[in-house]
Amino acid sequence: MKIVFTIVLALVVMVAALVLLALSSCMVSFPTHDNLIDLGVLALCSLGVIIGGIFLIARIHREY
Amino acid sequence: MAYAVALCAYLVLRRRFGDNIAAPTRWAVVAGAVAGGAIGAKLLFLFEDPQLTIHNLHNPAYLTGGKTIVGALAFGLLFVELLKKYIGVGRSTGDLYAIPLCLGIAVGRIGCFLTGLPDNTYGTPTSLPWGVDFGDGITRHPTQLYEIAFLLVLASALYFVTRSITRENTVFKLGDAFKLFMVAYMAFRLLCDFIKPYPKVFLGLRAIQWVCLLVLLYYFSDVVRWLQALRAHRRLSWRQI
Repeated sequence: MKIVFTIVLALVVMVAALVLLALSSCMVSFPTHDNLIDLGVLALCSLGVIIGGIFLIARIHREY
Repeated sequence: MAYAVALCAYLVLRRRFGDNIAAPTRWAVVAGAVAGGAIGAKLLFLFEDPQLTIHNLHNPAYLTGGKTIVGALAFGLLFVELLKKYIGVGRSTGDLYAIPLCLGIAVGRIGCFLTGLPDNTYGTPTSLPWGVDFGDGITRHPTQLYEIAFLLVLASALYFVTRSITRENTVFKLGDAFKLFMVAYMAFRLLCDFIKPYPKVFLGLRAIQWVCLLVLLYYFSDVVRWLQALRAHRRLSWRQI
């Protein structure tokens, strides 16, 4: 179970990191985008997912 | 493209040299590195020009817009070390990432070079024959090309270091390929950023250069160990002759 949880969480963290990095490219390419606030909120959400995912991975590895 | 090249290089190296880290730990380390990298890349960007950041605190486009590779490397290292300490992993885990990082960054710098002025990675004006005009009529140091050349040479050197780690009686031990990559890249950036026309934040150095100095300080004991081992190795070689 440990490896399954770790792989799933690691993939979630990686996707969130990719979203965060892709958002920066999006912001640079379209600086006058109408939905800047939405994109900012999405960036914050992906940041939360990254930190939460790492915290969970650390907890799982410490418990087992 | 850069991510794909780095991933391919990692898979080739893992097949060539093997991976002695358990799969769950490897995944945890990768997740830690990616998380630290994504956060660090953004965070250091905000400290590159503090005044501009303060002026743009209400501007999501600016706050989420940029990223720096030095921040990604430094915070990736920090996250992995903290994670390993928390879950109780003592052994080095980074050797297989050294060459993929070199190649990935080198490919990324091609994009930086082709983007030109908007990418903010160009150098100071120069009259040297290889200066590049990025479109504003001023010839500048093509610092992206300097970095690509440096990384390709470093990747070649790291291949021999990674190969030598698997043998006995060598100067380098497990973990040294990644450490050597970090030391070499941070030293290069520390020097290269002197020929970039961007704001200095403290004592004539950019925020990126301060982070480079911190990372170099972190690995100082390893550099001393390499120098001592090299000297001993050379002395032994002379005696054998």
